[in-house]
Amino acid sequence: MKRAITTSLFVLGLVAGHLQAEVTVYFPPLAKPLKLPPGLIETLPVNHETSLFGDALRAVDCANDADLPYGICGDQLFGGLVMTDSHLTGNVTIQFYPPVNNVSHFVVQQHVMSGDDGVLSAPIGYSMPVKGQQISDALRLSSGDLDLTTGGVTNLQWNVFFSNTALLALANVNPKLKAPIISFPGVRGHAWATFRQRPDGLLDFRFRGETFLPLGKAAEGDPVRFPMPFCDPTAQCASVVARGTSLHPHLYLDTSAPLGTACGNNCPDIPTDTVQEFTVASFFTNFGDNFDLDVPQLGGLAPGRSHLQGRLGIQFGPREGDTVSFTIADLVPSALFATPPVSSITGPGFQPGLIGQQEFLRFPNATYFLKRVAMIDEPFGLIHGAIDLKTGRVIGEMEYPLLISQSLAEVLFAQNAGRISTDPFFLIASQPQEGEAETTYALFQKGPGGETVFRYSGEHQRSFATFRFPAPDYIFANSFVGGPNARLDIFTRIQAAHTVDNAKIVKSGSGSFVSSIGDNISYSFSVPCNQPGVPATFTYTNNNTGISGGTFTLKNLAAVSCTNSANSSAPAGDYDTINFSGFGPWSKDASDALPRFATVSISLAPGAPYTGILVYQNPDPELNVVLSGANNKPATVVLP
Amino acid sequence: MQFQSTKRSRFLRACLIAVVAAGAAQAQAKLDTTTFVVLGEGLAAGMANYGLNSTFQTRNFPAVMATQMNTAFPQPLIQPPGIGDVIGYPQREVITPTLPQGTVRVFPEQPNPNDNAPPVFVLNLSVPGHKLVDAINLRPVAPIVQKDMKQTVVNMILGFPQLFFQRTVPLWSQTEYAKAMFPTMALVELGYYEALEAAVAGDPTKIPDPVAWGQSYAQVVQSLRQLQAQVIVTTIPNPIETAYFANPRVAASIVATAPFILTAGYQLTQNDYITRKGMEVIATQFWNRTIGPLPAGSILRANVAADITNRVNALNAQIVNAAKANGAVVYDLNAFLHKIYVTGVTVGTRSINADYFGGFYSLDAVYPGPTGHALIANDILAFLNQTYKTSFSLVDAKTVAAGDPVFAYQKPGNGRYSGQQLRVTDGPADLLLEAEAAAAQEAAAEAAAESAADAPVDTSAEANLDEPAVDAAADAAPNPTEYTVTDSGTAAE
Repeated sequence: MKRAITTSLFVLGLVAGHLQAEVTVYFPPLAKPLKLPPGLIETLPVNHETSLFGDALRAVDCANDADLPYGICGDQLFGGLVMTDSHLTGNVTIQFYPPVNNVSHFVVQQHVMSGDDGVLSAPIGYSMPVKGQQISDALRLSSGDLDLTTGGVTNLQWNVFFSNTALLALANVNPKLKAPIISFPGVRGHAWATFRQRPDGLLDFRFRGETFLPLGKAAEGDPVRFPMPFCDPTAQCASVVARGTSLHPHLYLDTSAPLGTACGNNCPDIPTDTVQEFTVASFFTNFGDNFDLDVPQLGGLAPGRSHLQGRLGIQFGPREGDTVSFTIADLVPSALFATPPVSSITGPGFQPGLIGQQEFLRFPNATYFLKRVAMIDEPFGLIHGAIDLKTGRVIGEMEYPLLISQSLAEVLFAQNAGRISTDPFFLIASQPQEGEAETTYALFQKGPGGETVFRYSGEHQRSFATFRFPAPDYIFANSFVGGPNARLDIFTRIQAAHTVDNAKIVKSGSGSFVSSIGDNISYSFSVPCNQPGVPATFTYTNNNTGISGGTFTLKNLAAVSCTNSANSSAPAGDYDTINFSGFGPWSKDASDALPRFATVSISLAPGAPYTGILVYQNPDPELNVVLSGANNKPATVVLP
Repeated sequence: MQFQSTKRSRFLRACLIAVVAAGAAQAQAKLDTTTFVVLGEGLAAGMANYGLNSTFQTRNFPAVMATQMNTAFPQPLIQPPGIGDVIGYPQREVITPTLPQGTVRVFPEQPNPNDNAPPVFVLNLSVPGHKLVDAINLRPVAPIVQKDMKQTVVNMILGFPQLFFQRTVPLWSQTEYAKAMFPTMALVELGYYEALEAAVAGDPTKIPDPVAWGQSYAQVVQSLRQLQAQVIVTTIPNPIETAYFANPRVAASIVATAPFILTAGYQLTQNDYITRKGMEVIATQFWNRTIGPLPAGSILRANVAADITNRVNALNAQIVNAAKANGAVVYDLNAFLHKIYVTGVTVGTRSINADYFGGFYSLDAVYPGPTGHALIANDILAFLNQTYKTSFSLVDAKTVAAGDPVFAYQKPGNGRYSGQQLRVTDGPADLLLEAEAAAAQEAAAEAAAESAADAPVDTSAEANLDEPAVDAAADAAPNPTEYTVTDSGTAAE
């Protein structure tokens, strides 16, 4: 296994190379700096409810070498990831070093922590009990640097051994694989930790780590196999060939109690071992960057934001205690039978997920037009969390690894010549400091129509000092260099709902607006919810005089999703949000041309009016797949 | 068992003889493979490992046949991980596309690499989950992607290009689509889903009334024959003989114990069946060193299995009648899979059989893997060669097996859970120990008797509870269909 990982470092270039600059991540300052514990050492029990370890295995069998060794094919064996978790009992001992410039280096011993018995399960045909759960220190201790003014940790390296009967079963069917030390961030993962002051003078510690361990195609000539849940008493299990299978181990340690208030009878319906489709509410769903580049020529700040269409595929794992782990896949709009935006930054295995509107990025002295806008999903690093079923909250500070694709970013990466890692931005739903409003969070809640609503707000700030930022003409010689205070302030807000009812209703409406990029738009629609065979109508006219101007007329409906936003006031059996897609002619095309495809998101909520439309084309010479797009982007960011 | 000599079985055998005679008469007609159309459900579609996707579709038996017959056979290939639900497992939400799908339907390579147009029509019209009534009546309907998985699968397979691009082509049901293709050769593999549904539910009444079903089936055959197509109909495989259902002997090898542990611990007879779902629950209980109640759908009692078998045979009789009445030929797929079930077959140096992890059925336990499909294709090709005096070469099953992950499945290790290791949670504490003692006593007595008689080893199920002979399986799940497997394929007599 070690060898496979070494190979992965080399082949995929998944790790920041030596040319890449160290990333300086910013944490919000604390009201009062932290005080280190007496004697610079503390031992605290981890909270059983918020501390767990586990895995989300991507069990695949990729027959084609092109999909190996990382297993990027779609041949999943059990209808989704194979997931497990185990809540931990034990102590962490943290030894701090005397601070220098308010930064204290620390090392951590997690000793041997025991885990609850659990189950390794998948949506279809897989359920295996897991026993003998424990984690323990590796020979190399875990360490990091604590900034006492923020509580944030940098240079975090975490090493741990995982053991349980599931790993034993995996090892038994792959006797030539050797159990690795699991390291966070590892090959393509992340490690995150924060400290908070406790009343007793000690420091609460919160850690989360996730990483990617590909098993490859074979171990010393033997094809990689996956154990089936049919085993003899010595954990010698039936097995199937599973070339390209990968592990995604995670570890959450927290010495503090879970946050949130009990949801009582209004808790969301969280299933287990199931993948559900959540449709995003585009009014509330966006990503962006408030650029503050400290470049005088640009004249100041540029708030960039694009609203997104699409879906989240949320897989809920088994229930362990009062939590259910989940993973999120960013997905294009339903039935998108068109080429989604293509990114030159990413490689095989990366795919566009949520698709964004084309927008202008306006600095006081410069303007950029952003095309090919999308969130990118990947099979290597997972978006993972665990829901506290008593509150609906995601335990800890949930990470949302975010890969942004858009035309300006591609040039930015190229002009920095490898100094910027293509790793995702790890957005964090930080918990607010005492007395502050909560602006970042991750939770599930029951919506007004009984639907399950996922809400996420996360941020990531990092220095952009010394990095190049493209000039509007994208010519390298004209590019700008970020000043000493340059920073990226990246965010994403997501609200997505999974409906539970099938109310038959027709949603209709019409409107006109000036789009966020200045086009005069008019549209009308009448689309049936949950009524196959009932005709739908939709027309969209863009009065732009260029290529994006024209009229799309829906002829064949491809998909419809009717949902409610989190605070919908729609009566029972009605919805305030509709997303649909379909084929139809474009007025500027020849009469015998193949139809175009369009995706549409409309919010009819009184407090959240929104219309977003994308009409697609085959990639043009600039690889742009959007022929015409428009949305009435809200003036300001609204929390989801 | 009593089914082997029932009136029905004799009738079915007589029918098969008559139809093969009719087929022999048809052999005077040349088999024109120019337009080879397949109507069917998941088996002919190439379902495997819980879904329909191109990884297995390209190796389904109709595709193998088409290759060997050297005829074009465009299929509605679906990008992995695929679409569709498998009977016997939790239904899934329709999430289309999901990662890493793009267009969902594969756009095959075109002569002009810049031409992104997908094939307009396909010839494998098989739809997972299709019953006969669906094949006749169920048409694509917008929107393409719906909450209903079955309708979405129909849309993705039969609704292209109509639902996507234009409405100048009608929206056809499977049968209508087949007729519109003006097949020169049609293969009908329908009825298996009805049988699977009844078997998985343990409810024989879910199998439709044979007379009414037979009339509808005859209409399908007749409508194809009216187009002058040579029509090959396949009998319905007995679902009880798939890997989804295991008698205690076979199940014991999957969950790593002795058969008497299962029969005593779960109150089974040797002729009852444990389902794939039941085996997984039992394996979980064994991890916890317990034997406890099983959820619904875990056990299929012998009498229910027999009833289902009888009803499947009744449908097969209708298939035979329909073929006879309309000049179609019957390929006895049921008989071929019965052979796999009873004796297995040797591919290369390895024997594969219908057990779970036996190398024939994929993870879903009801649909074969590539080697299984290749064997079916070969048997049908041999049947065609015999019936139509053609000379289609057979595919090399050994080569197929070399690249078949299903062929490479491995059963659990050799350790076995004993009565001492397991605790019955809702029964007498010494239940298993008593059963173990009784089994040991019985085995010793048998051994002594054998020794005294200086006879060859008796491999009856009663004689050796740990390793009963293959014959026990045949006794436990009789199939009234008479069959003969020869070099020239499976046909009646």
